This record gives sequence, structure tokens and C-alpha cells, in this order.
Amino acid sequence: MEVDKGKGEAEETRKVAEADRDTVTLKSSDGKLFEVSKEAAARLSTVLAGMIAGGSIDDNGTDLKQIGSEALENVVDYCNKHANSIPSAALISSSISFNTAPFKEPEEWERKFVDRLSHDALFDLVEAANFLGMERLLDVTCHKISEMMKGKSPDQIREVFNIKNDYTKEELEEIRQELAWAFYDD
Amino acid sequence: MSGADEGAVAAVAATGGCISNKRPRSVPHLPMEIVATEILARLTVKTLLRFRSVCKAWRTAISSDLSLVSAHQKHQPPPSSLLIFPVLMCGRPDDDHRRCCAAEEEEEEEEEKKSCSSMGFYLWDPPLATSSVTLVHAVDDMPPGERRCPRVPHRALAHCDGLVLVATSEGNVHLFNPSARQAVTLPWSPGGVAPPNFHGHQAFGLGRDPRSGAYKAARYFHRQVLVVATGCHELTTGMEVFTVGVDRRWREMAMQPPYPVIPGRTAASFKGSLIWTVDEYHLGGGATSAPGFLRLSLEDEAFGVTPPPPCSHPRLDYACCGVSELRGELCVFRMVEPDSALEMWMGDDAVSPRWELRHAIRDAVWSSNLPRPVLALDDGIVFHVQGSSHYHGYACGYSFQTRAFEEIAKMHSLRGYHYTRRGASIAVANKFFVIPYRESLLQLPCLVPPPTEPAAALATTSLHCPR
Repeated sequence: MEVDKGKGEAEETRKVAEADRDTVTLKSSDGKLFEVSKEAAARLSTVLAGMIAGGSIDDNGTDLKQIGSEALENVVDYCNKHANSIPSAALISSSISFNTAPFKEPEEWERKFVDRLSHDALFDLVEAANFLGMERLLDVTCHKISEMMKGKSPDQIREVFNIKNDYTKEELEEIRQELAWAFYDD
Repeated sequence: MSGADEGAVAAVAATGGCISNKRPRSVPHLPMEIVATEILARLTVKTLLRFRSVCKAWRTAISSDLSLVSAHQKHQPPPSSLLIFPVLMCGRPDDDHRRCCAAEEEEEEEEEKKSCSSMGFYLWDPPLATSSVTLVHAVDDMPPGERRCPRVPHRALAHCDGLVLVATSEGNVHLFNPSARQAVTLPWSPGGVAPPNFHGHQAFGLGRDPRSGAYKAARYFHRQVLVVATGCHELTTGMEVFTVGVDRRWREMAMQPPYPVIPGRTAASFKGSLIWTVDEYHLGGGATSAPGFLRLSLEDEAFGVTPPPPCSHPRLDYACCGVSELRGELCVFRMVEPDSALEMWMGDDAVSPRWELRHAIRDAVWSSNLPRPVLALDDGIVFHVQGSSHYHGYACGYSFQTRAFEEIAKMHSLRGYHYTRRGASIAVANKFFVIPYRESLLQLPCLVPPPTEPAAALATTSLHCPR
């Protein structure tokens, strides 16, 4: 890609021409194409924003080899829904200077959006959001998973996360006894 | 299974460590990094302690991953609850108390076990009208050293991110994590010994080094040194620091604090700095006014000054003001006569704060002790008024809307521990430490290295749990 540093204005004009299209096309690992609002993609994903700004967007479908079509469909769906919703208050920085940035509760549509997903789809979406640098989507999906975990036993958690129990019976008993109160219900 | 799928499973197993490859296609496996900082970081401490038994990788992350501790802090909303810790004080003159201790120690210990209500950390939750509190962390069994004599008075308390430092009059310093019900005793240090005839010689602080994420306790102290040239004893000051999980002993800083601070006044912990109130009456060198508050940066362990708010009419009297962290801001508060207005100046930075006079509350009849704002809520502020040997302390909520005060968390119901069988109080809780409550995932016993020598023993203890 040739970059002419001496002609900043010309560069700008070229970019504007490129920006004429207000959608970008994304291609999943299994070759499916999805159209997404360019504005929303750039606003919600640091990775896509970087690709759009850097001109590495392919009109025939930008390859996202790490993301399957199901997850990408959800990503695109989320971006397009976001583009149509009122700008989220969570994304506007608060004027109060708290030293922590507390998590903003999901909005109604975001809640509905993650509620309809299967476990697998939800976990895939977390990975896709992480890969694409989509902070808000990562927040909303991980919040949903953490909600699902509440009140569950270690056994149930292993099932949800598909984790193998690598403890012996003795080790498990030791952990239980170490901080027994944590195993009682509230 | 195809060769490509096998490769993918191997790659995932390598990143996750504990992820099974039983269901290769539809497995919802996530890298441990995302699981820890994005998902586990949103759960309560109690839930996480239970989930240590899910698998070894989870236990390692939950027990010893400082980045998870930080992520967990980040995901917590600003504190909206209070933690109340009754302070043990002697109800009798010192001599009486000592004689009584010596003669009846063994008998009383048995007796007290039967008659005491639980000593420990009590939690208060909003709304402002709530008066009840619940015990979250019973400390009837103080860490070793205090266990045999639970009536050793508490002298000071410092807190940061849900961790609590309690110093006793015997010079012991304990560190608590009430949300994980854990406690450690920090090593003994000569800095904890008061110079002869010197009452209240130290001032503590507890904060977090923003670079390493490690928590550091700091002790400012006075001590007596012998000046060889003159043969006279002189008082000097010093500062020592203890990094939790790293240090085996307190490290005295090479540099002396540039200004004396008021003993007994705990530092405010704010944005990686500890901020103490300078003792203007003992500045020395002919100086009569302090340039600001003494600041210790926890990252580079260097002293500095936090400029004071631009108070006038009258000027800021350091001895009669307080400084604390309030919902992510630095707050300097003072009472201004003649109408007893409580001024609250809010600053946004420890090094060069922009100060704003946020509140001047005139609607209250305060008792003689300066009310300390401990909790900022959306609809009001909770103040704590410290008690003394003559009257008990209380906490009250001030509502912005009604401009009225209401006593909250009826603390006198927490009074009266450790009565002897003759009915005379040995130690009663008239004073309370009241701090904003946060959960902390920092595991104290795991972070403290095993003791190398008996003198520097860092004892840990499993604490008595309420049923």
C-alpha cells in the first residue's frame, strides 16, 4: 500500500471516497459474508476500527479466519442493533472522576440479545468479542456468564465450562475444610 | 476427528490448561486469561472461594493471581456499605485493669468465653433508614499473640480496597480481609515501640502500589535516639513500609519524613499515595505553617506534599481538619464556626489536586468530635462521629433531599464485650472504627512467605466462623 506523506489532503480525500460505503463486509472462517454498519463496527471494535482506519478492509469480504459464521453473525447482529439503539450511556465517559470504572448494567435489548443465545454460542461470542477488541460486548457476555454461575455448585460449573476435575478426593476435602464457611449457603 | 480439529483442540488445551477435549466441536472452552479477568472477576469472594474446587487452574488463579485481585476490584461498584469494627477500650483506670489482668487472667478467660458477644467486623447496608447490622467476620480468636488477652485495646485502623489494618496498644499490627475471613499478624518492629513517656507515637497507612498491584502498609513513628556527640537523647521520626506478600520484615525508609505528622491520624489512601496530616505545632526550624499534607507515593516510595484546599476565613487548621478518600476523590473536611458548618473540599489528584468546596452542611447539631464523612451515596453522605470514654460514637446519614440527619446502624447495640463475672466492665466498645466496605480477593495466608526465623514469624490463623 503506497502512502504519500507529503499530501495529507489528498490522502484525506481518498479516505473520504473509501468511506462512501457505509457498511463493511466481513468473511467468517467458513467463508460466509456479513455486512455491518461501518460506523458501529469502528465504534464498538478496536480491531475493526484499526482495520478501517488503516485501509485494510476488503470490499469483497475482510477475512476473519479466527471467527466461525455463527459467532460472526452474532457479532454483526450486535453491531447493527447497537447502531440503531440510542447511544449507550455506558460508552459516554462520566464527568465524575471515580478511580474505578464500574460496570454499567446491560440495557434491555442487550439483555435480550444475550439471553436468547445457547451456552456454546455465548462462549464463542466471548472469544470473538475478545479477539475483535469489543469491550462492551465482552462486558455484556461475560456479565451474563457470571450471572449464570451464581448459586451453582463446582460440579455444575465444570459442566458449563466443560472442565475436567483434576483433583483427588482427598484434595477436594482439604479445600472444603480450609474455608468451610464458603461452602454454606447464605 | 480430523487432523485439523485435533490440532485446534491441542492448542486450546495448551492455553486453558484444564479444559477437557471430550467434546471437541461444541466445547465452550475459553482461555483461562479471559475466564479469570473477565468472568471470575465479577463474582463475590465467597463464591470464588467455593470455586477453588472446580479445578487446579482455577484455584491457582483465585488464590494467587494479583491481576485477578485487581480485575476483581475494578469490577466492583463504588462502596455503598459500611464495615463497623468495635474498638476495645479499658473501662477502668489503667492500674486497676493491670492488676485485674494479672490476678484473674486465667479465670476470666474462661468466663469471658461464655459471656461475650462476638467481636468482629459488622456490615451495614443502605438504605439510610436501616438500623441493623450483620456480623461478617468474627474475630473472637484474634491472631496468635492477642488470643490470650483479647482485651488489648485497639489503637488505630487503616483500610484500603476492603483490607483492614488494626494496630493494638501492644504494638502488634494485624491485617484482615473480612470478606475472605482471613487475618495475618505482621512482624514485630522496633518502630512499634513508643519512646519513654510518649503517648501515641505512630500513624499508619495502608495502600496499593498502582504499578505492582501489591498492598503496602506504612508506619510513621517517633523514636528516641542517643546522640553520641552530646550524650543526650533526642526524638526523631521515621517511616517504615511492609509490602504484603513480599516483605518478611518492615523496611525503614532511608529518608526521614520531611514533616512531622499528627500521631494517631491514619493516612488517607488515595490513587497510589498515602496522605497524612502534618503536625503544624512541631514543624521545627521556625516554620509555623505546613505546606500541605505529607504524601508517600507507594510506587517509588518517595515523599511529597499534597497541596491543601484554598480555605480562607479562617485558614486551614491541620489539627482540626480531617482527610479521607471518598468515592474516588480526596476529601478534606473541617468545621467552620460560628454556625458549625461542615465544609467538605473535594480534590481529584494526590500530587496537584484541583479543589472544589462541594458541601457546606449547616443543618446539624454536631457533638464535639469532628464528624468524618465515610461513605458517599447518590442521595446522601454517611458521617461517623467518634465516641470517647464518656459517650458512645454514632453514624448518621445525611440526605441531600431532606437535608435531615438520621442515625444509622445503632452501634450502641454492639457495645459491651468482655464483662467479668462481677459485672464490672473490663473492656467495652465505646468507640468504633467505621469504614466503607468493599470485597477483596487478596488471600492473606497464601501471600505471606513462610517464616524464616521465629522472631519474624508471620503467623496466620484460621478464624472462628459464625454458624
